[in-house]
Amino acid sequence: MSDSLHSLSEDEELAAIEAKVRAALSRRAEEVEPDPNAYALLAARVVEAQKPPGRWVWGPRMRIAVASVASVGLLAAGVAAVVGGGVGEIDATNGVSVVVAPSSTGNDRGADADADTGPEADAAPPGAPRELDTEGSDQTEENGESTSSADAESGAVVTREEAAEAFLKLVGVGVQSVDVGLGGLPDDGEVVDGGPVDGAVVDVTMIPVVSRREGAGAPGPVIATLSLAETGTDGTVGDAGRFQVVEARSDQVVIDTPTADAALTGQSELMVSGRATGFEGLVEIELRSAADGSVLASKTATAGSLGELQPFGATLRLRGTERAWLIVRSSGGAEEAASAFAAVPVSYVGPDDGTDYRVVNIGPDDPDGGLNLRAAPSIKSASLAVIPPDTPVRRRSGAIPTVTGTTTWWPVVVPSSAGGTDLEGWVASSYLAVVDRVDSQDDEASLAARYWAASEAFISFAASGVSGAGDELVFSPRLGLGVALNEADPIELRPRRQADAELLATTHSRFADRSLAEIVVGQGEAGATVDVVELTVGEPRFIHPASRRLAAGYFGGADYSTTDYTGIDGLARRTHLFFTSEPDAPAVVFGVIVEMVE
Amino acid sequence: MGVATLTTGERVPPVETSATLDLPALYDEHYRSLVRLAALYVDDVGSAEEVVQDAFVKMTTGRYRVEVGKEGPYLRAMVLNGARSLLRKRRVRRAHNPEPPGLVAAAEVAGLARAEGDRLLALIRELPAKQASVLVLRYYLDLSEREIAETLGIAPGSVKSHTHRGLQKLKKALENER
Repeated sequence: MSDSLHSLSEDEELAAIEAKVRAALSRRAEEVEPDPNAYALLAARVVEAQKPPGRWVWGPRMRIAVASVASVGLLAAGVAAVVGGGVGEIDATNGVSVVVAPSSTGNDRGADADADTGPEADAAPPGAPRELDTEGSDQTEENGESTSSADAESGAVVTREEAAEAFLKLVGVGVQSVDVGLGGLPDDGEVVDGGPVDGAVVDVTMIPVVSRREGAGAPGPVIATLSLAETGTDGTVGDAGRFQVVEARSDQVVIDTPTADAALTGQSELMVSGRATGFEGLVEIELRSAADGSVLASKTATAGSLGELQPFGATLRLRGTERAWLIVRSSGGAEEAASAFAAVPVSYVGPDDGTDYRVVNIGPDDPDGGLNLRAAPSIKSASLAVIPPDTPVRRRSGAIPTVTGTTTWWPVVVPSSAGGTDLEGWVASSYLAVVDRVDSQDDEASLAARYWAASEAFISFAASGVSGAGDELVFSPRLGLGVALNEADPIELRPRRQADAELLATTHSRFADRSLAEIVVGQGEAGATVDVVELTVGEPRFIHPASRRLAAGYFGGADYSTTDYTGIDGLARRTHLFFTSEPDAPAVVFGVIVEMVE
Repeated sequence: MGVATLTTGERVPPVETSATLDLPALYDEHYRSLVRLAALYVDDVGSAEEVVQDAFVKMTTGRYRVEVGKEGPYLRAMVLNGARSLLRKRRVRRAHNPEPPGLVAAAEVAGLARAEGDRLLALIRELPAKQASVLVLRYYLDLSEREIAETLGIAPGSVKSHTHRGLQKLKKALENER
């Protein structure tokens, strides 16, 4: 390149590069002339696209037929195998790989399956039921098993849309904050990959998840691409019209370890690593139950920012035995309603930690008045006993849970209360909670410790601090709230006590009847104790649209919201989020209080 | 509704779109510049046109309700997303089916200025997506910071920082080539 920049100042050098960039872009662009018939083609496409939807139109399709598979989660490995290895032959009709393999099982579609590889293959309007084995469809909802799990177990159809929506809810992505598929699902779902997994027939549909934007005319970016596979009535790969998400990938978050469907035995910790970028240089790492989406463990880690992938790493504590989703979420992305994320399924059999559980979530109107202890992990299995609410139960040490549909079944022991024989059986995990080991006496020290522990677990801050240029600060996206400061914004800190007093004065009326715990506002290392501060920014902005319901009041004065959740210790908590701003003096004050809920 | 026939140079009647979208007007106003914008990413005109047509089709038939006056930012965002998506697919394809040597040296046959321009374009394409988009929108489309922010869904202040960092990276890359 030219040497002419050597003697120039920094600004002059950048100005020179600006000029070169401008010239290069303009020159290249001016070489481009659209097809003069483009409008005709476009109009024809629009007319075609506006026809009422009838049958699904699929893109290129990969059909791979082999034998059987033990776990849908293995599909992800199959995808990787094909992408990396290119197993199969080229289908001249659509240019994608096709493997025709032995047809030794009922799930095997074999070579004949390829005959319908075309635009109308598997045609059916979204949501329309297919004819299939409806064994067990007469099951009704009962305690211990949700309707959805009953549906899943009964072999009912689960469309791609339903599977994607259920998955997004499970991993904590608000379905109101995203659109699944660009312009309509599954038309834009792209069947691009598939893989031979122990001889199974595999179609993997790749569907983009697009973040919505606050007040903008355009959709936001693709925050993840879901891989969905079709399963049989027994939960393994098949063609029963039931789809299941097997992995979520993102350009902005790459999970290196654990790999999809990793099975961990006897480990008390899960090492997580990968590469990611986030607006604030942070990623949220969560382990969520595959059964009900409850958060089993979480951490915040630093990664890259401004589009540059940088390594991240964290260690999560494993408790008990679970099938779970590991989710890594980029930190709140400016005006986007949802952040980029990747997710992989994992399962683990933890060491026996002697954890006791109790029966919870049994409503007063429950017809059985308790939780069914079943002989096998299925709602079709006989009920051995009904366990009353609050009864202590113990998970069988080292026993592996079983997942059917959306229900995780735990093998448990119910100790006899009268010196008789302990009962053993299976229960749905969502009706168990860890027994509270914290002294339930509400002495002040105990409460403060518990409040603080809860606060600490749910709040993270960029490590960059709040003095000088380059600062960015964010609340945990899991709170649905983020405030980001640009590097050009001046930031002013006030002493803790002063701000503390002001915050209390502002919000005291709202909390007068509650014990205040920590007010956590400010900056600091992730997970560290932080001071209360007031932030003064050049232009107050409410950025994270996931909390759009809060935004209207945010600029006008004070706003307040609560979020209820259950901690990993099974105790109920309520997070109070409050914000104040002064329109004329653009100061933003925000705070979080976490209290225990009886 | 008549389906357009593909006759050379002949405009077809307007097609029905949603109540607020005037396809011919949008086409006249945006199509060419969007194809050129896409071509800065994907390099061949055919692919660029496909990306732009996809954006128009999605806007006129998709589930998004585009606000009046926001069609430009919407289309630009869709084109940028579509072009980047295409590039990603190409990268994956190339990783498993490398192009034979000899197909990538077209710039060498042109003059120095052209070679430098092509090199700059290649460097811009290698930037993180936001930085590349900001540079293209700013220096090709001459959009204001506010317009760029609206298109990319970022804060105006972020447009500045992305621009600065993008230029710094280009500067460093060029220096390394001296």
